[in-house]
Amino acid sequence: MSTDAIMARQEDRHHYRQHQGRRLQWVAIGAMLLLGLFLLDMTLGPGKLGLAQVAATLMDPDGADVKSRFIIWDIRLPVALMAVLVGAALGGAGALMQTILNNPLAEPFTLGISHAAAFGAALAIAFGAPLLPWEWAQGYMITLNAFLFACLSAGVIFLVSRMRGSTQETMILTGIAILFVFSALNAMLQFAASAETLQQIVFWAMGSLGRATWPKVGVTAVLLLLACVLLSRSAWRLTALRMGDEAAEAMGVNVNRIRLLVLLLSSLLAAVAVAFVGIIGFVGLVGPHMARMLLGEDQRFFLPGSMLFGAILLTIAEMLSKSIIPGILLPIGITTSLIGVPFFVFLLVVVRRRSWS
Amino acid sequence: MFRKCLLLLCACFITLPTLAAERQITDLLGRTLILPSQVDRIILSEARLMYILMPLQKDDPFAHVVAWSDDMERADPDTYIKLAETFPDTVNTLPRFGHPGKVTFDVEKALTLDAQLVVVNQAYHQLWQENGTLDKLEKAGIATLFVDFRDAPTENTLPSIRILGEVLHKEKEAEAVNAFIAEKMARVAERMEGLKAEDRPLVLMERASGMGDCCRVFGPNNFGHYVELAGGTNWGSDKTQALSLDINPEALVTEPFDLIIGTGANWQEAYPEANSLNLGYKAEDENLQRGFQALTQRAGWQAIDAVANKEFYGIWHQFYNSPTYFAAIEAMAQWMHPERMQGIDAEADFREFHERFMPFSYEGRFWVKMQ
Repeated sequence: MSTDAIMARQEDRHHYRQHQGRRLQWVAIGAMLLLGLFLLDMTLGPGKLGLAQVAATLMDPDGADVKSRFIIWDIRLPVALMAVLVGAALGGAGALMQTILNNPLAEPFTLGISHAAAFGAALAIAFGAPLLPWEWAQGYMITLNAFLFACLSAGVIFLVSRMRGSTQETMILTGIAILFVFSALNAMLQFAASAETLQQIVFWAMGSLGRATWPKVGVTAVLLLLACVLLSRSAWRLTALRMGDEAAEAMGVNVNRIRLLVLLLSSLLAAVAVAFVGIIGFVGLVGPHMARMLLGEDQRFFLPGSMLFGAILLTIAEMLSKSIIPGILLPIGITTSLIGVPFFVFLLVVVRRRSWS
Repeated sequence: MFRKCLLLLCACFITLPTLAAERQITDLLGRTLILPSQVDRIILSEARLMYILMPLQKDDPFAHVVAWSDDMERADPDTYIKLAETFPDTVNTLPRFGHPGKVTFDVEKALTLDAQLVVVNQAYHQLWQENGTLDKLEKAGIATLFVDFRDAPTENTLPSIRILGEVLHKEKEAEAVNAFIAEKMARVAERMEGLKAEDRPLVLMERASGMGDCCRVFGPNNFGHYVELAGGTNWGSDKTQALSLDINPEALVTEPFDLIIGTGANWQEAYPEANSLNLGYKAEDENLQRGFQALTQRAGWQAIDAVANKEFYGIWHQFYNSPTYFAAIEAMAQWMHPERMQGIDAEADFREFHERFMPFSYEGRFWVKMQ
């Protein structure tokens, strides 16, 4: 090998390392930002607890008075954690869907999964119609119904895709068909509902992190962790998929298999998120696009980045939802879009790199 | 010449009665409508407009009504059941229109019913103007009368009753019921005279306790307004103009609430998961206390001082759109200012209202205190 060639290779390697380093830097900055926001979130609320008191109650719950303990451990902490987890789940689900469908518009919302969940919840609210017969399930009827319908819609996309070959068009069009079916069914339920029931249905769909409880936080965390472990092993396959089906196949990727598998995983993430807190659009769409703009297409950075940005967005939205009118919670679905859109447009204008290719 | 004059005179006498048979009525929005002297074919675009009609024609509340809507059995099953028990044939056979908030009014159906007048809540005026319903009704020769018993019950209910009284030639009945309500309201206002801001208890006015996420609270209108009239400070009043909003559960334990009042009604059938206060005509005391037990089991509620002090009350949700709001205000005032309200008995007044102005008897429970 000539000296020139060796030099060139060394230069390439140097470039690659530099590039990776910059990406790692962005991820680290994002993680720090999220941590800072999370801590800030913990100090906000009508309870007017100082940082020291928050920290003391967190470290030593038994030593704190009843009210502080309730505020920190029963209200703020589960909600703040849920904002991070659900933001990450939605960002991750959106990123996966955009990747396997090779479509910048794909997210749980556009694939009808959110609408299916909303219909399941509305069914429980309007008719008290549980899908599961067991006694313990009664207290979680709305959540379970939402989850089952979200899974059902993902299942339909999955089955149709298997029958018709798992092409992107099939999946997207099936998803859009599902979206319309469930939004029509939803409208029908709302039409038939009484005034108070209608109010419940509408507000459920607007989303609220106030529904967070420790079991819900636990379920979401476990699922998210599981997804991360599974995905870390196939990140390179997903990166290959973005180069086109043929290129991916040439690299030895079983395109059908990975696409169906990832569809199931991302639907599960979205289903849990929607079932627990209601419909939160936009995070699943924009989190991944922000990550792509700053971190590029390599799934090893893109996926965690999407989750990180999803979590950051939702945490900011959560803080706003409780701060705009002190003592009142605005629906999280509203604040998410209101803060997400300007930030997203800012990135679109400032980051000139073409992020979708 | 004389014969001509005579003929003219005769013509006048013949046409005068028919001219006199038409009259002008001004509705709540200030619109003037021409109505025949005898209006006996009325459509109620909402079934809950019966609240205004019932005190006017107590013995036969459905007289002159040719159709109503399907909202009452869902929005207020309590009153619907009482009406259905008392007038089963009419309730089961009376033609129904879709609720104006949900479907476009069926003018063709109104024509086939030979209706003379459609009564509408003022909230739908803009909608009916824009979707052409008002025009179509006018062309069909059917008058439209706007009233209100819901947007601002304490201001608009009495004028609405007066207007409908005029339409039905029931001025005396309208005057009687209005005088009754006005007197009760004036009495509470008088008792609250000179009440200082610091003597007003801070009230958490919860909407539909136990339904959905905890908790929705009333803004400055409706029950929020009732609280103020009853001598309290409604916590949600200065937060927003919205009818109701979600309170941050944290504020439940940090705000110094003196009283918690939740609304409840007979929702059990429509919404079995709710652990609500099933107040109303069919309410039972034991069931209501079970409702309180479930409501105080909600996260954080044990830490609320007002709950620990048993200053937790329930009130019938349907007072929000009924002329009987006076009873709700009296009851709340009794809780907050028993010394100022001495000699006033809200339940007795509500019972008397039923005896004098309602087509069915008084029974059940409409407010309750946690034991």
